[in-house]
Amino acid sequence: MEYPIWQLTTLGGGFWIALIATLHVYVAHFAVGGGLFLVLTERAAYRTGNIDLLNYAKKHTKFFLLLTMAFGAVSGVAIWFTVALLAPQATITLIHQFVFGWAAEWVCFLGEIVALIIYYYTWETMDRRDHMIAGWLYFLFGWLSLFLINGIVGFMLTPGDWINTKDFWDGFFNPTFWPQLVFRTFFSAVCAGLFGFVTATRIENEPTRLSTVRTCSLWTILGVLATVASGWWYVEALPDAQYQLMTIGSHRAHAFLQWFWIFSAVTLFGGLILAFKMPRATSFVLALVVLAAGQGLFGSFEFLREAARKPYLIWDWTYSNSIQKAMVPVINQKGALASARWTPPDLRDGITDANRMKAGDFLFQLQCSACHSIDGPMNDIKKRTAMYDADGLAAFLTGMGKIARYMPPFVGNDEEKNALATYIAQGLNGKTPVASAAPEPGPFDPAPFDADKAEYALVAWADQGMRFYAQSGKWTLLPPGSTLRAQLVLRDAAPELTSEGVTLTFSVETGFEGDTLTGEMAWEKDLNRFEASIAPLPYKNGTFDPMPMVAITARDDAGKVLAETKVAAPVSGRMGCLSCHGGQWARDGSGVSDTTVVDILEAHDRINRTDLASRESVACADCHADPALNAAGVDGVPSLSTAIHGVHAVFLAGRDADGSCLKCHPQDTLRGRHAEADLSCANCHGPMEDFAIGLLKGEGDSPFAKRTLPLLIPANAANRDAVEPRKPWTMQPDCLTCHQDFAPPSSDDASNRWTEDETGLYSTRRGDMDAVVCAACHGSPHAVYPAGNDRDNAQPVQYTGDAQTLGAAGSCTVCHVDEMDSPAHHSGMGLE
Amino acid sequence: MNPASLIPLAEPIPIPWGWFDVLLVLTFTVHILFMNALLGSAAIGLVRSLRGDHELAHDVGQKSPPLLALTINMGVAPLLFLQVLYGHFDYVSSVLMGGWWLAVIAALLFSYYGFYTYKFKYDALGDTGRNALFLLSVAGIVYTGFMLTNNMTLMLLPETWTEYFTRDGGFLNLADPTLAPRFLHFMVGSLAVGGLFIALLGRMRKREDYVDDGLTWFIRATMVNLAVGIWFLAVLPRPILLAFMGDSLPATLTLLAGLLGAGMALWAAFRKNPVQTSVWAVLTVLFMSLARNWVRTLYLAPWFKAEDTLVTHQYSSFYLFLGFLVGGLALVGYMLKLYFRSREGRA
Repeated sequence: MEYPIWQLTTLGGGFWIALIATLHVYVAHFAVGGGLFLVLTERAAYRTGNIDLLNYAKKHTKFFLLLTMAFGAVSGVAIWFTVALLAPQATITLIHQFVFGWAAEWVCFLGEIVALIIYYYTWETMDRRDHMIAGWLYFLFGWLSLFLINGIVGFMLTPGDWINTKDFWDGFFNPTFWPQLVFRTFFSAVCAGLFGFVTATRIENEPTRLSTVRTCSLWTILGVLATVASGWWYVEALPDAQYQLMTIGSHRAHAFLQWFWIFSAVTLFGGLILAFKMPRATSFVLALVVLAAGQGLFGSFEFLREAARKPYLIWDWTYSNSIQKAMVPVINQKGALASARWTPPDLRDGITDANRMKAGDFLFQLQCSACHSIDGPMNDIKKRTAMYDADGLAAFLTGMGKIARYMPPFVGNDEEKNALATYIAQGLNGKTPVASAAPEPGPFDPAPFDADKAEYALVAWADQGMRFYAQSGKWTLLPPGSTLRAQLVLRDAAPELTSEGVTLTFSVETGFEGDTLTGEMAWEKDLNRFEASIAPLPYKNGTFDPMPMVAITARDDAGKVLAETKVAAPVSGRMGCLSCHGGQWARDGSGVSDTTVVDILEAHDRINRTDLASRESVACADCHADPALNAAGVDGVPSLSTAIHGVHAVFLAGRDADGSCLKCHPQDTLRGRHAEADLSCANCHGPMEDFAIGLLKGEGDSPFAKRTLPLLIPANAANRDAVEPRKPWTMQPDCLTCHQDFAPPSSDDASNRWTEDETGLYSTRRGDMDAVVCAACHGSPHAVYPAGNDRDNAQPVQYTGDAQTLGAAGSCTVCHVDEMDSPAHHSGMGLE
Repeated sequence: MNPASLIPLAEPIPIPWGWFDVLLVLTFTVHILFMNALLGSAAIGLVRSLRGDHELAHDVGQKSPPLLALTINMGVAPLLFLQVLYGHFDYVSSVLMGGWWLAVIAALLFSYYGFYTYKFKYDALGDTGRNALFLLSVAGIVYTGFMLTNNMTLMLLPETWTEYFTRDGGFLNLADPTLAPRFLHFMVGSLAVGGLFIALLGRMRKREDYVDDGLTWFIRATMVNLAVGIWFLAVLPRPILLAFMGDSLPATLTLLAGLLGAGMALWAAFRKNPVQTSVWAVLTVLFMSLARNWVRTLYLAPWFKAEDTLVTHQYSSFYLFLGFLVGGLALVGYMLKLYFRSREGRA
């Protein structure tokens, strides 16, 4: 926020530091262990009087000099220059906090140079004892360098009490100082062996070559074993959060850990093989291979250490993008563009249509480019975000750093967040949002009803106003399948529900695909209604259509038609998963494709350490309980609804229902009177955050709930404690919360008061007489009369000629022969 | 746009600024002496070599790698102390230079291995090869120096930083009229000190031709550098120029002391006394380093004063450094003693 940005694209994302640092640390550790190796080799040569070994020591000194003093020194300076260019803010902090640590290290660096120059140039001229003293002093200075740098590098991962005290010594002798020092010291010994191979395998005298190579093997093998043992100590010494990231918490760290073990094994094995007698040329080539494996071993460790430090450069103090943690609330309030000192002048007055892309570009450089390149080898942003449309990416930015902890939070206001998302999704990836507006329902032939002659009135509804489904060859989140419900009323002065001696059949509109499209409805005695399970798909003659009509016919035993009706059984596969998980619609604007599914499963695998993406097919309800499917789930695994809403609420927080609920659920889910009155999902179900918190609290103290609840702040309720826990599907909003005593609404917020169980649900509940189901007169949930389209209104129009509640405005005669004057089904009814 | 709004906040320092200023000037002096000896002797050797006489280049070429090692090492300290006091200026100018600045690393690595190759493969290279390699290695050092001059001047000029917003990629401080004389002042100074280094080498090896040649280079280069220095002074912003002309007593006295040192060094050089010349030259470089520090202080005065930096008074880590410094220098001294003892033995 304080410094200009070195703008990089392809070679951004920490490419330079990764390249320079991994090479430097390898050589730098060699500079320490190799120094000890040299002087011990010299001593062995004197003691044994082996002139070949002495000559080897001299040659190895030259190799050592050329590698450590030239490359080692310049690449060390290079790291400094590079971090100052890429992360000036964090570097300034390190310089100021540890200036005298660095200065002391500079003294050691001077001592190393002087010692090595003398050691190299005086092989022939200096007294043996003096020469070895120079060698020992070289090693001393080298190891003290390690000692000092170790304190500062360790501080970055585990600053310990420094966070509170800002005291040099608290930061320097931090919680991982000693284990890391031992670890790095042993690794230096490994390096001595590994680099020793390179020159030892070139020795011409065979016995000397063999014994020297074996010495190198011993250094390597014992060194690797000691490195692994002290590495274990080091990992155990990590504070909880960093330990989690290094061991189980981060998918990224896990990959580096695997490489660490692989390279450890290869290095160990290579070191062992080299101890066997083999031709000089072969052993030299093998030495280079083992040297490369050692680089892999150390590179993977350094990457692992950095992965464990994510999302920080200095743990709990400076984020990876150099933004200081303490500044985040201030920047969020003020805006990133207004807070950054080096914001281009034309962005300082705010974001406009004209500068939105430029603002996004700047915000990318400010907050992302420290770790992400554009089209480059390091964490290419285009590859990582290819699946997101702009809004999906904005949602990702909202939740960034909360579930996957290795990214810092986005810092800034919503407008800036959207500009950044637009720049990446549209500017870099050229991705436009997928159109998902619902098609206008087409015309249909209404069922007949003659109010004067009809003996029966047949009323029907669907248990869900919009059955959504998500299924592909690869997975089943929720399969297609609706429940059709009906009641047959004998029209009379005292109407009765008729169930005996009648048969109700149904038939889904011609042209629609699916299963069980025709059949007979079963009488559910206890529930006082006919029911049938149908599974239409939203495709009519191959074209997306979410509003199939179902014709229901009641006949007597003789087959005489008693009554007919038509009801909409809406169904949609337009789940918006692809906005964030990529892929295209499976078919004609609907359905989740396998590409999308694989991305979802990979995300699940990353977060939960599962292997779903590699399985042939996955059914979510195999593990996650789902009352909608009567699936019991597995103990300790959250219900499907809780898992999905819990995770996604983290990303969709701070949005209205259109921007949250309807980003995933089909956009035409709410079509009834409430939609016409401009109410949204949140009016009944609560905002996304509250909704998810209710479900999470309903899980009791499950690990998932414990982990996820702290990430959510309710939008409606005063705090998390004020959100009522609930179970999915059975504990839903109660109409009477707003419509107290069936009166016109006294409020527009029905959320946070839930039905006790499924008997209280609108689609099954019956009136005061315990006869007619609410939905029979008012319509399917989410499509209550009068709805906004003819298909949803089919029954009231059939029976009353108007889109209205059955019984409203003097239409009691749909069932009653006479007009009624008492509200028998429930109070109100417009009759009082 | 007010350039002051672009200057990052200064972070607190552990002990008062004066300590860092002293360490900065002292270590910079040593750094610049090593750099001068390396670059100057190599450049003079190169000139000779291009004329067909390879002996001097061969001799100084033996010293180039260790001199470069020490130059880099002694460059680390002043850069560190500079960043403690002025990092919020220097990091800005480094980023503004971007790739130009980072390329210093590639240049240094190239020169380092170039010098080593020259030294170890001298015979195998042949005349053209060794001239080309030595030339390119010297060029790498010159590039590094030029970038340092750019960085150290760009950091002083916040009013030019807004160029960042109008350009793609890094840029240099080429519009600054002080850039050329300042850079040349260092380069010509290198020839002087390089000549002196050759003279000292000649004195040690009893090669009077080296002594004569070296001192001649020292005298001529120092006289040219006086002219370059006047040019540099003349193009400084007027208030800074006047500060050295009497407006600021300490700045004026520092410059005068430097000039006096240069005069004494010339006098000793005319008398063919390389050791005495060296003593005066070292003092001259010390005073000129101090004058350079005044230039920086005066340039930054409208924007920042080091004495305003918040101090946390954490002395204990300073003592750690002093311990390392005293112990380290004692051991370095001891090793040098061993080294010279071994040379005596050989002699």
